[in-house]
Amino acid sequence: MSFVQMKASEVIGKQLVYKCKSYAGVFTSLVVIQLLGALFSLLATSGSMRSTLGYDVRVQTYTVDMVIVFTIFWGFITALLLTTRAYREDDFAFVTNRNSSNISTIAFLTLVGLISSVTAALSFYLVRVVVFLIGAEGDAVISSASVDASLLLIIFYTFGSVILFSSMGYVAGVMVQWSKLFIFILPAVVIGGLILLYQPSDGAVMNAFFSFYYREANLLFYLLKTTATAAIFYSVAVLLSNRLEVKG
Amino acid sequence: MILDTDGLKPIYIQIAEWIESEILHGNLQQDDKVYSQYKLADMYNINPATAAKGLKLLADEEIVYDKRGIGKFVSEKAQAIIVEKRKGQSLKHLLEDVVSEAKRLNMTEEEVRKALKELWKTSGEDD
Amino acid sequence: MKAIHCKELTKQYRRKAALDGVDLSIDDNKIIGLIGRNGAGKTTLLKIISGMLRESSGHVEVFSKRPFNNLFVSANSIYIDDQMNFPPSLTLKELLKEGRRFYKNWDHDLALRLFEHFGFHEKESHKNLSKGKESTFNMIVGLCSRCPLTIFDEPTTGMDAAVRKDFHRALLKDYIAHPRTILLSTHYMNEMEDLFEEVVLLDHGKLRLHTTMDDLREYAIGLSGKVSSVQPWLEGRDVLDQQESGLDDVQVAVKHDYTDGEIQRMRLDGISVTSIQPTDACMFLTKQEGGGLDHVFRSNESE
Repeated sequence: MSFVQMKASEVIGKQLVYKCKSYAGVFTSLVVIQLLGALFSLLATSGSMRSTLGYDVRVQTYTVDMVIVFTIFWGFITALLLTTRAYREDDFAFVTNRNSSNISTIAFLTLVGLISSVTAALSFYLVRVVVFLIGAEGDAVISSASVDASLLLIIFYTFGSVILFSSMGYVAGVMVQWSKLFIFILPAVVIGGLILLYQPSDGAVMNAFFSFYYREANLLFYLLKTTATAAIFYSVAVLLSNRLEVKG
Repeated sequence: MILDTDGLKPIYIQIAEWIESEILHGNLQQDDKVYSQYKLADMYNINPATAAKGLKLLADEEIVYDKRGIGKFVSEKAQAIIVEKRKGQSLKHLLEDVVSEAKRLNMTEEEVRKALKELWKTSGEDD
Repeated sequence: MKAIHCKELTKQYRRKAALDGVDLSIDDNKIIGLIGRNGAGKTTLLKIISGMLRESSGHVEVFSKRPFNNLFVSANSIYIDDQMNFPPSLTLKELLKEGRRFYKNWDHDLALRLFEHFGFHEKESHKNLSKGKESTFNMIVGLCSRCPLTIFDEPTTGMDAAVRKDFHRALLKDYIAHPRTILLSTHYMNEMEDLFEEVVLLDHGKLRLHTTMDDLREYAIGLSGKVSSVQPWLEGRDVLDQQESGLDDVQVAVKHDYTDGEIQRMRLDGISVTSIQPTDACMFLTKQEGGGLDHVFRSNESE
């Protein structure tokens, strides 16, 4: 019987296609969560009335921030789910090793991260259309607070965040696969850490942490920072899962 | 042939004996090609290695000869060898049964011989 | 070439050694039966060989490579058990197509013909299959992948007798056409023994026996007769099992190292000599210590 040689890149490529075909649930959950986000955006309007020089101006602000926050959260949960037993064993039904399985999942998460960012940005239009159709009173102003900018900017900023949070979800998931104790340890560490970080001088450390990513004015630097952090998290996950057993 | 998987007889011997019967009945003539181990495996649902062992047995007894790379063929003396072999075997089994039964009945060797002689004579007269 | 080579292979779980110093060498292109009681370590061994589990100590090589995390071993082997996890969103037909994408030796024609033969429907989903159908589908994947090392762990779970028979035939036919190493664990040894070339018997995580099927068929013989006539023949022999029946009758399974002459003399002594089926031989070889089930009930009765 002749032996088969397969390069890692070839296997990873095949696995990526396999995952795009078989993880249909990931895409349906994305659609549901973003529609939900859009709905919240419509409800969570902030209205204000001003009366100057005899005119009454009513301003209603609609924001798609909710969609973006929901998408980031979705990225975290999706990554976490993909580390669970059933998903890992899907890979082991066919040719794989732990590295190729990890890398193809990371590639998949990056790909859906990009798709979700695009759809999140597009929901901006969805909200605008809906607002127009239901005929909002007065002039509707639709904005995104954190990036009141062009579509492309929304896409990139969302993408950076989704990637960052997916990597966090992934490493958390792998840790839990490693030892179920992490189900208790991780939340304790995160919550405890947040409390500790808020303690000195009115959350200065926490602010520093957030401003490292979210006060970055340069888009390129922002993307660099988020993807580099994600790369670190993913590397840790790959190292940990290289010792994981399957079907144990 | 249906393989007797319960008997004391190993399957490869049963395979060998089946081919011997094919030769005796003339289904396989001298210099005919004998079924390959794979054909036999497929016919009897057995591992090809088991079938090969049966064929090797026949080759060792010079019932078949080997043409390298082509297969195994019925040898010239095949018929004679098989007849000779079966004679020895079946007679031995029958005699074993006789001795075993005689012992159970507490007969002496002398008594058995006498009985055999009687039988020999009467059957001779029949001919 | 050796397909599999294990040296002092040990797998330790928290309290218990699932495998305990197994030395095993398996030639390529043979069909090997892996036999053993429940919990003997069969599945653990197969999962280590296919690179799913990591050995605790000792060495294991598949095609001269350590299987854990090895892409070459994964590309050239397949592990099929009754708990295959396939993505639920793909249909059976789509799963076969994935098999073709991943395994380069895959025979898609055969896959489709078997798919048809066993009455599967294109749109069916793996998770909705009955146990027997599931096993049948997994078997198709295992067979059509044509991997140089094909591992089946209890492949016939839930299959009815007719399908089992079909499976055995399909396995043999495909093996004859495309010889490869096939490692198969089963509890239905009597149905499959003719297919095996060799048998590996595990007992409590240890290798109990590794021999050819032909030798296993002659491994032990059964002697039955009067105690007085059987007893002398057991002197210095390896008695595997002994059952007394009636007043002074005894049935014994004993390791077969008697000469033809000795067997003949036994028969003349009025002892009936029978063969011991491989299944029974394996059962005797892996007998539990402490007297078996009758013993359990006996201590109950005495209370």
